[in-house]
Amino acid sequence: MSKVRDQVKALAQKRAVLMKGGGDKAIVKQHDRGKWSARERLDYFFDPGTFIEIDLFSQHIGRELGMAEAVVPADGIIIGYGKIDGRPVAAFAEDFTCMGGTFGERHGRKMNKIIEFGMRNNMPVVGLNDSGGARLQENMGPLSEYGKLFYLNSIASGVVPQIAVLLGPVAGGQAYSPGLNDFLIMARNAAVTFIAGPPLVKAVTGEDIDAQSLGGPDVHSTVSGTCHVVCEDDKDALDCTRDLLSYLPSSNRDRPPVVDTGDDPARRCEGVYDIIPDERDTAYDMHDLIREIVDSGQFFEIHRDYARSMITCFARLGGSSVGIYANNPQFVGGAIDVPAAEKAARFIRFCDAFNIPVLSLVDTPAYLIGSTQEKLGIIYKGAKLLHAISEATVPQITVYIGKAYAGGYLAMGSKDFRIDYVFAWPTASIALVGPKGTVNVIYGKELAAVTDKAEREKLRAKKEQEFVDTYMNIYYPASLQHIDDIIDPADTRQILIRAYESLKNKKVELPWRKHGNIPL
Amino acid sequence: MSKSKERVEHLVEEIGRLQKGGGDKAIARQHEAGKKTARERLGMLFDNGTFQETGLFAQHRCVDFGMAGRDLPADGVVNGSGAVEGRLVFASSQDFTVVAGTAAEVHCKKFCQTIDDGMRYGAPVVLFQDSGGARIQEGVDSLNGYGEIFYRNSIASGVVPQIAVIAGPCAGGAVYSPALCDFIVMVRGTAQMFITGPKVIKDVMGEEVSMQDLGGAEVQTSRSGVAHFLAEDEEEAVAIVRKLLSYLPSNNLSDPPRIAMPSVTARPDARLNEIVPDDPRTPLDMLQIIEAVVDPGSLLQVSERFARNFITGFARLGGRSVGILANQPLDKAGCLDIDASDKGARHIRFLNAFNIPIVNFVDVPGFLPGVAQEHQGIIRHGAKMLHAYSCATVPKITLIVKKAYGGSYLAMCPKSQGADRVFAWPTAEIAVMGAEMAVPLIFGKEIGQAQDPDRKRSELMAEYHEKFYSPYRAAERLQVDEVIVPAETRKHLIRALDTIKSKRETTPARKNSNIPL
Repeated sequence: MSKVRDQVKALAQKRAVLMKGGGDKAIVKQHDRGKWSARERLDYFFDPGTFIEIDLFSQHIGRELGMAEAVVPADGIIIGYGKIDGRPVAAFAEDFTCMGGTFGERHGRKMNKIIEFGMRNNMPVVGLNDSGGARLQENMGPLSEYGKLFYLNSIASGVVPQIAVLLGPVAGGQAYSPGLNDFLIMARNAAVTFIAGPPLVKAVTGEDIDAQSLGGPDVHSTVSGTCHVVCEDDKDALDCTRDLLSYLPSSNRDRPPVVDTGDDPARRCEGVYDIIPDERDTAYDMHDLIREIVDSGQFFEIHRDYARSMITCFARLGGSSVGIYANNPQFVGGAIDVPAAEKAARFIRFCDAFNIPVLSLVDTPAYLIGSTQEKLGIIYKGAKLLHAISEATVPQITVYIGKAYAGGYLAMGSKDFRIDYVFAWPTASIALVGPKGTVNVIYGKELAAVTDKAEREKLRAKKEQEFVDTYMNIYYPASLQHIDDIIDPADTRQILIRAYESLKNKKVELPWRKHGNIPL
Repeated sequence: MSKSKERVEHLVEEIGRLQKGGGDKAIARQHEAGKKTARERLGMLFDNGTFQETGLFAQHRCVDFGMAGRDLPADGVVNGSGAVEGRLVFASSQDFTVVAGTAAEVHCKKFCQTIDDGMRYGAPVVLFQDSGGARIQEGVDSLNGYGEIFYRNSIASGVVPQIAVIAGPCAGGAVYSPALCDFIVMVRGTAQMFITGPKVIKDVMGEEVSMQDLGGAEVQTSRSGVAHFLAEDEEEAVAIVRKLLSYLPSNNLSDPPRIAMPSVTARPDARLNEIVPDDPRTPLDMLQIIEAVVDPGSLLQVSERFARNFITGFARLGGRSVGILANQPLDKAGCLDIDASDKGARHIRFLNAFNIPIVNFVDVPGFLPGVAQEHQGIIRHGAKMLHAYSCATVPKITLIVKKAYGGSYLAMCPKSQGADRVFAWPTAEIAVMGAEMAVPLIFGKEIGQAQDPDRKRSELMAEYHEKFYSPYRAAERLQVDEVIVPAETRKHLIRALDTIKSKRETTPARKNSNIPL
């Protein structure tokens, strides 16, 4: 056999060994945990035959604390490029079968290399995380690569979409990388993430808690708000990630892809007539409304189980992506509390950064009141939402559906914030203060002068009704140009599609600044 | 008398009348409540004789609910510009003596004009708040007035400094304008901020709480972190504003003013060589170190009473404005937690927006562990520090005094977060984690199998200490630029600042980065 053939054969052998990561036994163990191997994940994730791997032959750097002799194939991480629905995506997959997918210096360099690749070539970066955390034997090396990782995540933020998919543990400082991504997806079967794991928590605070309760998907998707989407397992999580990417542009220089959904843009949505209750205080599920209006009734929800009085989701209208934020009267009457404001604000900032038009559907009594919210700092945390809608320069449309009172009316995108179109349904009502409060303040003296209680209440009721009739019907704010048009709810879909069409070339320049000082 | 002269006299009369706002009686009431008038406040803010009023003749035009023909001088807000230490500043000051300083269409337009002027002419904006809230008679128009103010606060954010002084009630929607400003000063006793007052809370939720407990200066500066400065009285509040402005540039296209300080030398300070306690369990007081290093008496803390484990502030080094960020080991051992991260990250972003170099003092053992922190989302909140430092393009200098462990070290602006200069004292310990934590994790097996596990553990601890617990390992890898004699810190910082002051750095084109909120 020629020398070349020998060399090729040797290459094939080396490659075959490396492709097995930690080896067959370790892969079986990984499967026993209900997890796929890193390579299986990438194979499933990308369009068939599109993945190009980089740095398969890379080796770890550790020389101390017993690392000199250790073999860690590809240093426990696979990086490369492939296609999703024909569009380029950069990805890494940590290989738990190689030294627990721990983050050594080389491991970190590879992760950083692929993020830089994605940023330079204007494509999303998807991380499939499954790692025991920092490789302590290497000390300074991993630490500075962590630093670089966080730096790159921050610099790439708003340039290319970054999605972290947690398919196993991500513990310790490393958790900040998913935290800096735009979206964090967790697989219910294996993902956990925390800054300090149960043993450290026990040692420092004496609290006894298991990993799932401390940082599992349930906690992060309902309590902490760290996780945006919970999936069942590897397959579900990867499907979800592909779905999410379909709504997003490749980078901040692109527009989101237009998809032929087959749904008629002129379709009337008479179903909405039956969703809106006649009684203003009757709860209903805003999801039902969204389903009626958007293409094929499909949307991709972000933070479904967190701050449920506010819905945030991606959907399509006439084939084009929109980001929707909407009050959900089914929870706390649709009031905006601290988590709801933060959730919507960050969602809007993502949409703005990536040229995704924004739609607001409004039915809210106000910001949530009470001393708990005040002590949480709702004043500055709630203000994030006002800041976000103000600085967004993508097309923005607001539809007032039911209640829109006080700060809630403003925060959901009133005309004052340069919202491009503000529509209202005839069912909507806008007010600074409700009839009771208004009448108390304005007619307080007059009412107090009536000595007979029944008479006084009669007068009060009359004044309240007058106020409702004159000022709380939607034609009043429209007469003052605060509403662009009052529309038949069943026409909402086609009106929105035409309205966004008219905003396609919107270009707004804000004063030059490095960035606004949004409250944090 | 000539017609012209009559007109002039009429004008003078009108000015006199309008400048009295709600009139003598109302002014007396204002004073009795322990408050100054809107005009007195502006008088204190501006250098003598520099105030130029605009919009004195503004009037509302509401005809609903008996408002027709009601005379409300200047529509309850005094507007204008003047000089603070010789530099232009725009201000609005709500006049509580005129229908309780309530916000309505024209009133809000005046606020908007102040912010517009600030943006257009590149000068800071100061907004005095003392108002009963929205003027209910104007309903949706009042509401839209607020909306216009919030929009401008947001757009002006990062363009010109915006400071709110709460010198009376500031309730309901009104709170969101200060919240969108860069800094809030609250006056003890008279200032209140809440989105809904105690009465409504009682009616709706049955919860009893006093005004001060709900939203007084004490609560908002310590518990919620909404406000940045607590002033004992209005004089102090204005003094804080004037001092704060002295560190800031007029706008984001200028550099902060530099004060000539020829007498301030880069003197060595031998005390610093022994200021770090030998006993690892004795916390050091970072404030002492900062004060010893910066120009004498120049430190102004921001949010001093909130998240006391973290110090943020302004100071001068050789006469130049710098922003200070520092761990304070006296509280929570200096651990970073959610509140500290929020406080720190916003300060970094303010400094970056306004071209103020950043100086960091580090002694941090880690992020605060625990169920509460994890469940409140320390992952996304802590990430704000990393994001803010990474994206800041102003000069960044980091001094590592003692502990610098793991993720918390990265959150204090090391080289990898773009620090231009990293200095370390010989007492610095830069490591992935403390030895007590690391050794059992790495050598658990060896220790378990040893004949004398305790001895083995302490041997390994000593080895780990030796190898990883100094600034020199990091310096080998260029993660530390220089290990310095503590006494000479001031000299090194001033010189470094001088070297890197003209830094230019660009980040990729983007509308905004998607910082976790």
